[in-house]
Amino acid sequence: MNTNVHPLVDRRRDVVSRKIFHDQEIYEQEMDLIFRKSWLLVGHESQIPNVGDFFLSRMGEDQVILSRSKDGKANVFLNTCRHKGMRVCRYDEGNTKLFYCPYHAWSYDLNGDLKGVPEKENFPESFDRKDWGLRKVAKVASFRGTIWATWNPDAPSFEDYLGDAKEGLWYGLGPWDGGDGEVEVYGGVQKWNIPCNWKFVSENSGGDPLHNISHMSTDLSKIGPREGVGRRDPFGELLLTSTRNGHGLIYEKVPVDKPRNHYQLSKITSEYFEDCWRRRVARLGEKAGSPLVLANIFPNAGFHTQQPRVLLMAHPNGPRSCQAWRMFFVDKDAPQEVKDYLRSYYITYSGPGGMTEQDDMENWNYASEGARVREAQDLPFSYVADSGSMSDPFIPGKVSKWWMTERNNVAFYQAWADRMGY
Amino acid sequence: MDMPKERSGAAPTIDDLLLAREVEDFLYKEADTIDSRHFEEWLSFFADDIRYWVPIRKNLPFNQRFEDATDDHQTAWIDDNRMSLTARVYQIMTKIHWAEEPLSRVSHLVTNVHVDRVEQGERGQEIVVKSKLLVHRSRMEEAGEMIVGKREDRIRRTDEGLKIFWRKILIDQATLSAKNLSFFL
Repeated sequence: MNTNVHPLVDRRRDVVSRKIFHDQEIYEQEMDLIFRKSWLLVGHESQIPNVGDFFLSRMGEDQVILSRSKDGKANVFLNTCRHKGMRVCRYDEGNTKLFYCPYHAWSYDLNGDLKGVPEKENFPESFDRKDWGLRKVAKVASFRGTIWATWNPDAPSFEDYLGDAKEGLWYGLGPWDGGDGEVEVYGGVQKWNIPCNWKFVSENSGGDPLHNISHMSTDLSKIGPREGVGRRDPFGELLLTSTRNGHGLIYEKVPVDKPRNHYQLSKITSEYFEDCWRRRVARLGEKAGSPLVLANIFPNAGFHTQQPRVLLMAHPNGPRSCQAWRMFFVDKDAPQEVKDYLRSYYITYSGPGGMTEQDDMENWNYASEGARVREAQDLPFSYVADSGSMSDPFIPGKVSKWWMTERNNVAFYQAWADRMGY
Repeated sequence: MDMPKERSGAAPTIDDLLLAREVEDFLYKEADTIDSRHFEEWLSFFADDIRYWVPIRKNLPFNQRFEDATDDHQTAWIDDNRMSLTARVYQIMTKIHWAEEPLSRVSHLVTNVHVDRVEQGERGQEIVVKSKLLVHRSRMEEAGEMIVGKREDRIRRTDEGLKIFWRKILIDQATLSAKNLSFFL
């Protein structure tokens, strides 16, 4: 790792320039050097279960189609016609055989290959349909139900990219009982525009438990699934760790020898959860007590894996705007009543209508404005809080035992600076 | 959206007109109460079994034009019951709900109000009312955001007066331009 003192990310003092949160030129470089090079979350297997299914997704600023082709594979390609650029898919989701361009009727199959052009006889012989397919990503990967893609042909395999984040995320994206079952994403995606730089959202997902204090009003309102608790069921001690790729991970530590007493406001949910918890402990032993709670997979894929259970794509949308896509997931085999209860709890917690996240958006909004204050450009943001580190048998890397630390954010900006060539 | 009910050729009776005025007044008073920031009082417009539901719209083909919003088992922007609606009001009253401290300035323009049908429910007369909604929110020094949508309210006549027990708001935006929905739609 490079340890340079760069004016934007000063690795010796752990400070970061305000400029990286608003500057157009830096943003353009991020698009090229980070978003075109990294693995990005594009969807979930349960959104395209059948051949012909598609989900209109997004990578960075660009719209992509995630489709299930006849060979059962997930494909990801740009939603822009090779002829004149028109969108070939204008529906958020569905099932189709062809993507048909409304402009001049070029049509593409579920692999993004060009199938038909009208008046083919007027095209020169040199026109080969094989050369005019929709632009496909370099690689697609499926990991515990989530689907990822990258434009970078030299990207490491997705599992290598995850590195030490792999095991925690594997269990975090699986069913409550820690077994081989599946989870599913609830239908519908919350999509909304936040006037903030995307990196504030990434920090929030993977490395900022310090902002817990800003949610005190939600805790006082006791929306948690147990009578009289705060916004969540009581959780264990939080432990942070990060990877060399800039992924930020937050685990909790809870005793495995007693029930959790979660979700008491819904008896059936509580019984289902406790049963899963028992099976999880039987299966994983001590390790069951160190589940992943929050994560950001560099650059912008956010996860809550306990309460609520969400996938988040924080799409960059210009240096001062982020388009968030929030999806919620649940054990596929859970009773419908459990799914319904969790659904209402999750949306009361997360998203633009969520009582917790509303305050996050307010903070990211005005912090992004603060990043632009002209007279403050030489006053960098502080990432110095550091509670020291230790090791843990079930959590990879250097673990911060006391969660009042910026260590994960420091790792994020180190990875960011590495990618940007600083 | 549901198809508008076919009207019988009969002219409305005086009772129909009185009912229409009554529910209009009720909805305007409700809007005034929330816009004038009387949050706790606003809760009294809702029944104990209130469902306050704002589904998410999607871009779908024409043949799915009547089913372009998320359903009961899918995600929503908001799906509150009495408990969570009360919690939202409580959150504002904590004075540290930063998305609403200082408070947003909000106006609800409720228009196109009409009684769709009247039914006899287990707990009394139920009036189904449709309306259009334009909500404007301004905050700090910003001009603010507008959310426009269609609303269906189911209102019960009780001993304590009219109470909304079911509210569904279909907003026109599929991708929300507001950073949050910390204000009540």
